Amino acid sequence: MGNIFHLILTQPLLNTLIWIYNILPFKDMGVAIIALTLLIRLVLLPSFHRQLKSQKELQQLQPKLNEIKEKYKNDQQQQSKAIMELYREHKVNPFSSCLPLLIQLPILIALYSVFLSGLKGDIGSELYPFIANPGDINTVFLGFVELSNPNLYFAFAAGIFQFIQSKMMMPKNQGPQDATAKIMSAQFTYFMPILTVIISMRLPAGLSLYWAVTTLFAIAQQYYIIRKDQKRSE
Amino acid sequence: MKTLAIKIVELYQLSLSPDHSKWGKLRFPHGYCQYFPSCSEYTKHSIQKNGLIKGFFQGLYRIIRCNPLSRGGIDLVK
Repeated sequence: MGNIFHLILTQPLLNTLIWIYNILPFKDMGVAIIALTLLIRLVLLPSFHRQLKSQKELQQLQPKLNEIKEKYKNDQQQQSKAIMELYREHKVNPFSSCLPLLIQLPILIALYSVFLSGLKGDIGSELYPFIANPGDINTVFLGFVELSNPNLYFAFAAGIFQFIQSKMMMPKNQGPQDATAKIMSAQFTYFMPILTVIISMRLPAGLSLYWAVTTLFAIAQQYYIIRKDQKRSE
Repeated sequence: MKTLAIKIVELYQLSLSPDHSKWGKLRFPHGYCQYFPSCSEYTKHSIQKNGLIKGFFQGLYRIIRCNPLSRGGIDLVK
């Protein structure tokens, strides 16, 4: 199991990272980490746009949805079934899928170990034959941040970005919410960023850099959605 | 064992699930899973009906099917 994980996730990602490092005009592992992070987010972009599109279509279906909800008020099962049928009829798919959700964690773990070995430089035996071994790796980002040591500023940056992101994700004017739901969203907004800072303070700064960049990308995506929503309601 | 497995699925539904937990319903008001019943609910039913081992694998197979390429829909435990 560990072997398969290594073969299909960790090793390809590590080789991509080193390949990026090799083609950079200036040798900087920090820039390579940023580039790989952006590359992964770009690969995931099409599914993000599909979601946007279906959100739009869904709004047009809203009256019919309310009708169904009214009709099967007391039967959750019938209601779900009827809604599914409606989506199918109009060829709308507002759903995400479970596999990508559950696969995120292994990818995250793989990336962490990839960035760790990229920073340590113990990569000789992991490289594919067509990827050149860069030898000594420069882990000083932009000439002044040592990425293989923990860095307080980077840890805080990662936490702050995450706070902004969860703040943006909070639904506005959801109407009356019950107490548990409120506590849950408060936990997501305040507790998770603090946890991020605490964990990042102990990890090499390269990992905090990854976290900050990937969160920043999510913020940009979220901002794009909110802008579109506002334009539509105008 | 069977009861324990079902309890674990229910714990997941209460805490982490984007379809069944409180925060999930807020964040994804139209639902998350593209199947009905959701993957965790399906797994629960399957364990109840077919036992722990078959239920585990049926649930796993359902999660693998629940990917961006599939169409979703109504899919009850056989």
